[in-house]
Amino acid sequence: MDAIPRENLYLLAEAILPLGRWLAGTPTQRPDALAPWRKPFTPQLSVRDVGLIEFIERQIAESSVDGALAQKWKQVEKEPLAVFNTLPGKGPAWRAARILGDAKFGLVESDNVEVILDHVKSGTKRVSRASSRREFYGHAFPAFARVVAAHPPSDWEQFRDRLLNNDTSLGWPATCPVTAGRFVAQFAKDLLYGLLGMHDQPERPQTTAVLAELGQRRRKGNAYSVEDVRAAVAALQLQLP
Amino acid sequence: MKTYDFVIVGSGGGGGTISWLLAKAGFSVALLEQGPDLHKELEQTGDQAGEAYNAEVHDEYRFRLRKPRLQRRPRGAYNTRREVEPRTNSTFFQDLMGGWTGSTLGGGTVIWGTWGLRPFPLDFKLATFFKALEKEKIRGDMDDRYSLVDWPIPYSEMVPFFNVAEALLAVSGNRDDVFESVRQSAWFNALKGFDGFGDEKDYRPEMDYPLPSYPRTPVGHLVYEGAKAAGMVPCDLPVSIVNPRSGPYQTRAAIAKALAQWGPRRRAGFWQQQAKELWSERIRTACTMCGFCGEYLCWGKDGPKSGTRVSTIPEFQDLPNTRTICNARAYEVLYDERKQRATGVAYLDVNNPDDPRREVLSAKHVIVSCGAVQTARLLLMSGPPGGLGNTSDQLGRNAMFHLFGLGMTVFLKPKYQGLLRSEFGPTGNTATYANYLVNGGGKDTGDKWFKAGIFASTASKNPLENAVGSATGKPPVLGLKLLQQMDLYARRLELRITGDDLPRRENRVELDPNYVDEFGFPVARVARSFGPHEGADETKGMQKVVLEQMTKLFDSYVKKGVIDELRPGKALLDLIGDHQMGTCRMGDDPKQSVLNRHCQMHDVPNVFVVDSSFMPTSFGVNPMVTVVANALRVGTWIIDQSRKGQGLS
Repeated sequence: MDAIPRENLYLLAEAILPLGRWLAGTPTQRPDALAPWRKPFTPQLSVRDVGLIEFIERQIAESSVDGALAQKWKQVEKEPLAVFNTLPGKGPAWRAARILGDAKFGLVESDNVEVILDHVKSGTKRVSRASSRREFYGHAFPAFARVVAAHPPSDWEQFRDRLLNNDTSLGWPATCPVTAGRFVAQFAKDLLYGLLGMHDQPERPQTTAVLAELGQRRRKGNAYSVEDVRAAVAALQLQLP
Repeated sequence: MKTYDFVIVGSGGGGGTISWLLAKAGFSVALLEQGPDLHKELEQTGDQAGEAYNAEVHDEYRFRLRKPRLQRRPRGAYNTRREVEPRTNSTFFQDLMGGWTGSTLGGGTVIWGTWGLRPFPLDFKLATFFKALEKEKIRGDMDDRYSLVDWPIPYSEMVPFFNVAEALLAVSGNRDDVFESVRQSAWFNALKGFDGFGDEKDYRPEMDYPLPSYPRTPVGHLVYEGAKAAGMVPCDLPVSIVNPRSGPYQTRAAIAKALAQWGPRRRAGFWQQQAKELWSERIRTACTMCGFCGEYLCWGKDGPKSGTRVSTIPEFQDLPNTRTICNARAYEVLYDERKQRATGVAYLDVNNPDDPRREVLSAKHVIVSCGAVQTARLLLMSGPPGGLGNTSDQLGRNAMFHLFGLGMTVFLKPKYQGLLRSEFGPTGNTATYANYLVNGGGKDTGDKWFKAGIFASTASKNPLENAVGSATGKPPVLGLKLLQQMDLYARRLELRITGDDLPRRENRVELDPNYVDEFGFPVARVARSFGPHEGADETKGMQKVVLEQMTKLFDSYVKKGVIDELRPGKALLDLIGDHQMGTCRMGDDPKQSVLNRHCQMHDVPNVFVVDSSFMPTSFGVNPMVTVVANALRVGTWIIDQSRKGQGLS
């Protein structure tokens, strides 16, 4: 994979998750009003503080299993009955007796795969294919970098929407197996995984700041006592009219 | 080749329970599970291996959202396709909605929501009861596509098995409060005495729950108080989790209480044993309310969340005459057409899914328990081209799934941000039985009674899934709006109904004519429609009345300005995963059912089905307690027959 255009990705990430602006507009009596990211008058929270691009980089580095699986599914799509036809008593006669038609493996078509390339040419059709993050972003990042270089955005939110809507005037390469819209959708998902997932013990409070702001206290390995629950009910009761 | 007395396919509430019972009675039993033993895997590989909890599954992303992998897919995705009316509107292979079966040792009992509820006597005689209401012209509309029948067995036959099932499932609840919620309901008082209603006293089972109620959470508190203000008597939701207040749980002691309730003279042979002869000294630890249960896996080391993986399966595995085989994808119940008997099970060993190996187990009897969708699929793939045990074309029909989606989403005002604390314990917490049957009372629905179900509070536990849904929805929501939606999610709760799904002939599971799983076997295709009783949408039938009642439940909060918005949701035809029932219904008439009253196939007497496929109706409560109780009932009959030397054929 080419060098990751980290700076521009952070700008796009800010346009997808403008954490600072959001925090500034939220009431101060939220659960973690005294948290370090809530300095008086200057909320300090951004996708950079949370380290979301670094999170995606780790996801890319760990995506070899997905790659192998994508390869496997590609094979199954080509020959959906490869295993079935080798089994005793199975094969075409078995399917014919049950009045079954041509066999298809529909997993990728169902969109029920973590990462998919959506633009692979197959004859005259363009079809989806399962992919790994390494392959997906390996196609998408250079295309993104090229588009940013050609059309330096002054308004990143507007730019985000143009990408999302596959605005042809941006010149996203037609040969890229990932469309601009699919790229933004996958990128947004991965940002959210980093933002709200409970993947690692927090190294810095900012890592779980949004979970805390939302009042979601679940973390890995946590536990509560009956007294904790009673206190939470009492806190709610206190506020109810 | 060794011939087992029983080969059991599926290790959930049905298969995981009956396997223990039969092995305990001395039969040789092989238990097949299509998924891995995730519990064991994670204990060995987790980053806190050996500690009380495994962090690997304490993560919404890792467990709920990461798409299935061939090597590890607890949700058993991609072997189900759903098809709803109109038939062109079909989707398939969905892991979050369709075919939500547990592909791990313990099956659905590992990922279930833990709502530990018994049905009522009228649920066993619903056809008779509805006929009585029809005579008085007070029954909600139905058309001729319904296939409602009474159960072939009375409620009373199930009672001792319900007691033992609740002991195995460590149900935490308060029986008196539950009964009060029933006894003070309009339906109970208006309809008692009608034919099929049953005896009033049976609505309050004699045995108390094994454990006291689970602590009431903020979300549960809101619903509880709202119901009270609306004149609906609430109760704590009985949940199948070792109560955090109760300390370690001894299943043996709970079984002893259930046996005492049964009474020694009435007990069948097997159950004349003492609890200490039936169960080890195994202890289960109490819940820490970490909040990763419900639709997640609970990896408390000794299983606060109940399921076969932490109760009957370890007991089963202690016995010498047993074998547990994971990663075994059964694809055929082998059948000798000449003898009209099953001879075993063929499966693919998918320990290495890239190199699946065919294996065969020989058996005197086969018990299928794969969940109602996959059981029908397996039987349709077995035997003659029409499927095993399908001479009456009943296999796969009368599929039921409960009315999921029907409910009320409640958004509180911003000042309540952070106070709902949805993380505590399981999703459900408090409930009311006030609307088990609902009365139209309006101009569209008339003064008619509709079968509805239990209302329960439901905490919003999946902020990430919600955010991803918004970001990738149509149209996608990004930027500040996305973050504001996440905010809104954090102060929302739901009121859900386990809505009775009356059986209809054309609601069925078939083999898909085209789509296959990764090994080339046809996926299950599920067809489903609603009739006039449920109502085609939220403006009709039972759905309309239920939403009116739910609005009423929150009325006091709306008046006090606590609530920003009440958002009603209609029942969704494509939510077919959570509670699958009825594809192999039991009955005395072989032309109208697949199984007899002992859950034995009419056509092939050495094949039994013990998951929720056997259910002739779906009730208005979750089916797990019934499935476990029925597996105990069927297993007891098998043992009795064998001991009497009468055989099973």
